[in-house]
Amino acid sequence: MYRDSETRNRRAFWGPALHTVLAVSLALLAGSAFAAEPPPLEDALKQIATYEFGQNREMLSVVEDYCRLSYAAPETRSIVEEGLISLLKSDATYDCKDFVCRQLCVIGSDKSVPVLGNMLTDEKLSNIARYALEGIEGKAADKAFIKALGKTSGKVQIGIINSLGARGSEESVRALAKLLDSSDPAVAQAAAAALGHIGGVDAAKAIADARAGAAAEVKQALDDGYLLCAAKAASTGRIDDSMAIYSALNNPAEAKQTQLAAIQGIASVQGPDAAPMLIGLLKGDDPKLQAIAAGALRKMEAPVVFSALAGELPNLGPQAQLLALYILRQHPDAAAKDPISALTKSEVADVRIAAIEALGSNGDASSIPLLAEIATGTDAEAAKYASSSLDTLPGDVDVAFVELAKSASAPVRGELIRSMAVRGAVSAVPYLLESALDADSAVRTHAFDALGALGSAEQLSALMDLLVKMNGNEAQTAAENAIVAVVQKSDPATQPAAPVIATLQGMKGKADVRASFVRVLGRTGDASALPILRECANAKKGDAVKDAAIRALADWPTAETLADLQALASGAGSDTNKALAFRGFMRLLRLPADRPMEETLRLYGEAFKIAASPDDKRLVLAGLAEIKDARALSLVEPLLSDEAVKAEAAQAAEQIKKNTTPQQ
Amino acid sequence: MLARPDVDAVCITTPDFWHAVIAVAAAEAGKDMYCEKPLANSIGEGRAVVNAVNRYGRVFQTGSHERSRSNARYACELVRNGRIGKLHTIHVNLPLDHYDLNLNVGPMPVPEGFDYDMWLGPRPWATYTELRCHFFFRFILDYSGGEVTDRGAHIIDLGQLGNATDRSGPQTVSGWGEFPREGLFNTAKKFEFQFTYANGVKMICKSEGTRGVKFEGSDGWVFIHIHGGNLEAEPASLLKEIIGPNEEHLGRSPGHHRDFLNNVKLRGECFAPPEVGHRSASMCHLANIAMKLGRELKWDPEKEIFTNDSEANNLLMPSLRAPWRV
Repeated sequence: MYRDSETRNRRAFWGPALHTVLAVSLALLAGSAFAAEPPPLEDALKQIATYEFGQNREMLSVVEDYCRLSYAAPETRSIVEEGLISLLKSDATYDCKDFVCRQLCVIGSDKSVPVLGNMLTDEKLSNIARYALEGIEGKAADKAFIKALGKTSGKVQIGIINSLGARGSEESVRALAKLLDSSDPAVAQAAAAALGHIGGVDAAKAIADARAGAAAEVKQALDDGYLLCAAKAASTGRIDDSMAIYSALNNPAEAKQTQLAAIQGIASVQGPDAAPMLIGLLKGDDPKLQAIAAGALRKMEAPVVFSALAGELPNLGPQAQLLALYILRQHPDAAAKDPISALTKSEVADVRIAAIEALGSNGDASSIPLLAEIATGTDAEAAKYASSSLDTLPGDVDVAFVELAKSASAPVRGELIRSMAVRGAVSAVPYLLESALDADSAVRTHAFDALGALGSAEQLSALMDLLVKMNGNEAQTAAENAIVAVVQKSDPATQPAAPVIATLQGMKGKADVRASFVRVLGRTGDASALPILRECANAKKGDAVKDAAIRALADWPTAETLADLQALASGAGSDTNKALAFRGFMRLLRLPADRPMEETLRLYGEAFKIAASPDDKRLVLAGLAEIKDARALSLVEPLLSDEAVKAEAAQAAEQIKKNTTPQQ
Repeated sequence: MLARPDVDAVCITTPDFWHAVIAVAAAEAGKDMYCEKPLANSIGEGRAVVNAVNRYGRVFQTGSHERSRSNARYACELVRNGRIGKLHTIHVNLPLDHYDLNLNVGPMPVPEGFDYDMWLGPRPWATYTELRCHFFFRFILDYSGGEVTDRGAHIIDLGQLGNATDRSGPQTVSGWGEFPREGLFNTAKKFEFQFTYANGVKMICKSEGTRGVKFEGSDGWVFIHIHGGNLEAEPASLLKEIIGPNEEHLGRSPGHHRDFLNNVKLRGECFAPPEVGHRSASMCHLANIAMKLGRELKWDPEKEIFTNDSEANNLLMPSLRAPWRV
């Protein structure tokens, strides 16, 4: 609404003719907000005085506009504020005063403090007065709150206390301290919280004094206020004061959550120096103390902490080991590798798993044999985590993967090759090409999968050689997959399918091998392969190559092969070939296309002519049912009397009518 | 419930404006928390939640579950590891559903058995009408922030994650919003706003387009669809990229809820810790403040104050109705 024209209009509006500002149309500012000239501020204020929820709030929006747009014009802003103040002094409705206070929350100044201060003691208006007054900077507002404090009780007083706390009003500490022993526990709780938010030596002392002998229902608020004072002291450099509070609260006699928070506070203030204390808690037998210690250790930044923790791993109980391993997983440390490796053989299953996971970030090349052994072992759960850890093992370890794989058993070779792919170990590609001829078929398949992930156009030639060698082998599909993956991820501008096409063109005999190449080209979806695919699909000889080519055209990702398939489906090929072509023809006809509807309908008409069986006709009808053009009905209607498909024809006709009926 | 020693954790699934009061109280009671997004309904309340959770050493998961999707994390890893080149622009698309945000409604009697005063809780007293509560509270600024804080809290969150600014924030925010001038609702029904970050990246958010976030870099782009995490990229081969073990990884979540439970047991950090949830919600609130004021605002993400507009600072933290506090 105020987009581009706002700056320009604001300048025009709030410029030299300031004295006329309140009479000028806001339409200049607010674009099309008004059909007619809006009222001047004075009139708008008058109109909103009687506003109640449910009435039109357009005038509220006008006043809000005045507040917002007078930002850069202090004199005008002053006039607006005075107008709002006058409403607060009047007998305007509650809803009006609520609105006014929301505006003063943003634009209010010391001028608004007296009227808002008077409202603080009014049970009905106190909260909305606070809404405005809480954000007005300066001592005048503080004084207004403090003055009202002594004249109020219950919820109204609590609100004022909360506001003083939110403002961080140091002037109010003495008054708030007196309320810590209020007979109203809710007031005392609020005072404790406020003093905590304000902080400082005096506030802390007031809370400390009140804690001695405090009523149980106020104790938690006092504890929290005390903790807040400690945090404030730490953030302002009063470390000794902070530690004194935390140390006092780190006491088993305190409420558990208070003691835990104190430990957290000590860790925050002392940093790595607190590590021995925290590790000591981990060694203890209190689960809550172990938990807070673990959480605090995790937040440390210093490596020395994690080295120390790693050194203690053998000395911890199983629960603490779990916590420590979780920390070390996120904060790896060179010293942790050996103790973690030892725990992969723990008698406690959870610890074993946690250690295997932690080794994924703390291990190095020397960890590969251990992880590979577990990953190929009989414990399926452990194997899953070990595989994952192999995948994430840090450092320059690709060479170590390859070296181990060369001498390892077939299962380990396969696992390491799988992991090489996940790790993106491109340097392992030469080894993977060798492994594609491994004696073990599972290893061969892993190798082709990895080559698909890691290979590039540079490996296409080698991959095609391997594909030829894989003819009839279990890994043939994996080899095809690898070539498809490499072509698909290569830059299309480099014509990555060209070498495959050239190889196929130069290939004689070996129909199964050529069929394999045809399948590869079909799956690439590379349009440059279409001429040779068409050639193969239309070959006179009906062999595996022709079959693969027709399937490739039928599975083509775009409608580009539609005409080929139509011709093949109606041509002189085998029934199988014609059926394949027809189904492809129907699939492509249903793909989204930008051809004219007349052409689509014509093709459906042709499809009916080619359809050789009721099943074929049903395919055509299913496609027609998706058409959003009533002319499609004329193609369906003749089949309503065809006994074999009349039910499907009726459904299609009904659907076409639905498709073409305007929605209500 | 908070007083029960046998309750270790709570799930906060109230309307947005109650999140902070409950979360702070839960922290003080020593509970861990799963809290729906947006983390809080104002920047000040959000900071109070973060401080309380840290003060008591609690585990906290913000309900920003979109960041737990593996696809989304992978997309952000592509961005953070330079696969799209140098990131320069983040587009956030937040199309609105077709609600009538100009709806005029009047006062209604409070239904029997409904403690309406309690429902209003920390927010200013307001006359009851049915649509103020239930689902539609989210289109009233006292209680929520409209689409900006609703799905914005998810999508902007992913923008922050991809930009590696999810524990910080922008340096400027500006924008325009079309706010209803009549009726019950007052959140923006059309909007366009933008942030600039210290690293030079711009985040542009519009109430149109396909719902999701697009990261544009010098060498390509990647788009994360909301909800579902489906990805698109240019070049498409980007989505086949492998992020190696020595690159920046963002981890994989076992599921947003499971992640929370795991960390309750192991005292780690969830995928959407309070600082992150707070910063994402803050982005939404910054946008609403800038749009309401109609001015470009400069933001100090460390101090969490506006540096060029004291009036805008007055909108960072609303006064809470007594007796509620954070």
